[in-house]
Amino acid sequence: MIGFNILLHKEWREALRSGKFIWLPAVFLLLGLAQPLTAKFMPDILASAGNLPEGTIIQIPIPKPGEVIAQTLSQFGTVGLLAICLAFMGTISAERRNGTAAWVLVKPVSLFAYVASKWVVQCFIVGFSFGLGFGGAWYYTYLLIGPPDTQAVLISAILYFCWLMFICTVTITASAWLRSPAAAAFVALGSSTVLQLLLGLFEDKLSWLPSGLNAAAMSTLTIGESPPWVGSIFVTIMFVAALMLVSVRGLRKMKG
Amino acid sequence: MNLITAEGLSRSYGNTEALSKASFAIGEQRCIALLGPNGAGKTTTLSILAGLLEPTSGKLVMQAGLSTDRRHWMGFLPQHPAFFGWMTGRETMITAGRLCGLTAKEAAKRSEELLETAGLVEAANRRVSGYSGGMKQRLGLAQAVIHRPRLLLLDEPVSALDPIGRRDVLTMLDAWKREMTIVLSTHVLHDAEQVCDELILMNRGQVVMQGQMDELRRSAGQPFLRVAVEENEASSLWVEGLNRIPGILKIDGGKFDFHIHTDKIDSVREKVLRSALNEGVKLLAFEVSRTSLEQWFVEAVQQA
Repeated sequence: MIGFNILLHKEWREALRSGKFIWLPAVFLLLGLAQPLTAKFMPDILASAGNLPEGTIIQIPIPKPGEVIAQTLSQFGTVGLLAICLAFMGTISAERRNGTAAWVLVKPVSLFAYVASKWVVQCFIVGFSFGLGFGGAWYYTYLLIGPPDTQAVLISAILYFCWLMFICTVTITASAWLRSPAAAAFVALGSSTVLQLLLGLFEDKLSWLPSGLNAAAMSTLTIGESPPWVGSIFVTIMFVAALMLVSVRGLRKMKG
Repeated sequence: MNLITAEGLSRSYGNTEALSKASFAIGEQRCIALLGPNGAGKTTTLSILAGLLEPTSGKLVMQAGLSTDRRHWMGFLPQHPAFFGWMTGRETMITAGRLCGLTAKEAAKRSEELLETAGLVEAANRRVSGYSGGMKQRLGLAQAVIHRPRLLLLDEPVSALDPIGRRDVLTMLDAWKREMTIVLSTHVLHDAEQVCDELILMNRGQVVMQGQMDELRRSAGQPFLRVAVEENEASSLWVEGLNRIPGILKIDGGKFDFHIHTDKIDSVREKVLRSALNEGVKLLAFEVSRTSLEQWFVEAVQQA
């Protein structure tokens, strides 16, 4: 892991200066705050939207706190994932194309350190963004709707973060193998969709897929009980480790 | 003892062979020019030397005793140096130094020295994205030598520069070639002649020849006399009579500015000069030249 510390420092400064460390947390915060607010004020919003005949009575039951937070997670699962993929789709391919990857790799640096430094910083940014958005959702749900079950919220947060970390790793790997950043984003988003579809189709047999983490986080919040997720966590960690090695191979392939 | 010996390096991209069975040696403390027209395989050769590309076949033999990871003792500047635009010049230098294994203190010290050498002290705190082409090239050179490499590889270091930038870079190289081996690629012979003492000529992916610059210059062609005289009656008579001097093989060129070809340059030089003085001819120029390497380069490349 020669050069890991210095590369970590470089990635960190890059994230700060390129503004990624500002806009990604902002996206998650916005998503996190929007859900409890719309859940609470939906009747008022509909009423003021007009076009409704006089005397219409709108009755929407205010959802339970756990459900509101679960809805936030599903927002993170669409817009949030897209934001993550867009932010990191070019992390290696863009550096390869503009020659900065070569600038780093002609120096005595191990390929694994190069990939790992990106992984650590990106997981940190994603973790921070997710924490901020999820914390915001939790706080506003608490204020506007009611106190959710703390233990369920914490467990689901950890599970969901692992899922995001997995998507992050897929993005890095795709970026190491594919020339086009857009293709990398597509692969990352596509694999998240496929994994969730597979899980939906064969829920009993494939609950150990990484997307099981996503499902487990949701059901912990809505039903209050969590399906077994230890298998998913284990499989996800294996996947992440394997994908890192695959990324290194992708980088090596560029040489020969 | 050679730093690196290349034995039969080949590299193909699909069906096209960019480099075929190139063999050459890189000695110590000298400046070697990799000369050849566009598409000769210079960049491929340098990329392989730098470890950015694996050869399809052939191998590199490193000097015994040096680290097997040659990136430790090698600096590289690609044809289009790329930097992280969000870093300042100083940060680029320090990051490069740290990545090459210098301590924070050493890296900072070397950075200041080299920024000074490269004339970038005033721009050191500006972002690299705002640098001009010449400044980037100088920064690229400076960061490539931050860890005092034994071998410095430069791909077209001066091709994209204006005359001033070119002179700056050549001056920097001239100073460094005492401390390390420099291998630079160029398609401009003139640049190679200015700083290099050895030449590897490449064409169409093959090494045509390798040799010392002055040996090449000597073997490039027979020396000849170039004479120019004032235009008047006496001169023209003298020129017509020159043929009688023994040893002169051929006279060509204009009437009052011509080349005298001979195989006995020393005696002919003396005789021509004496006779000019005797006849009172007003000489404008009198020099011994050789077929330029440029001419030889063009011929060598066309032959292959």
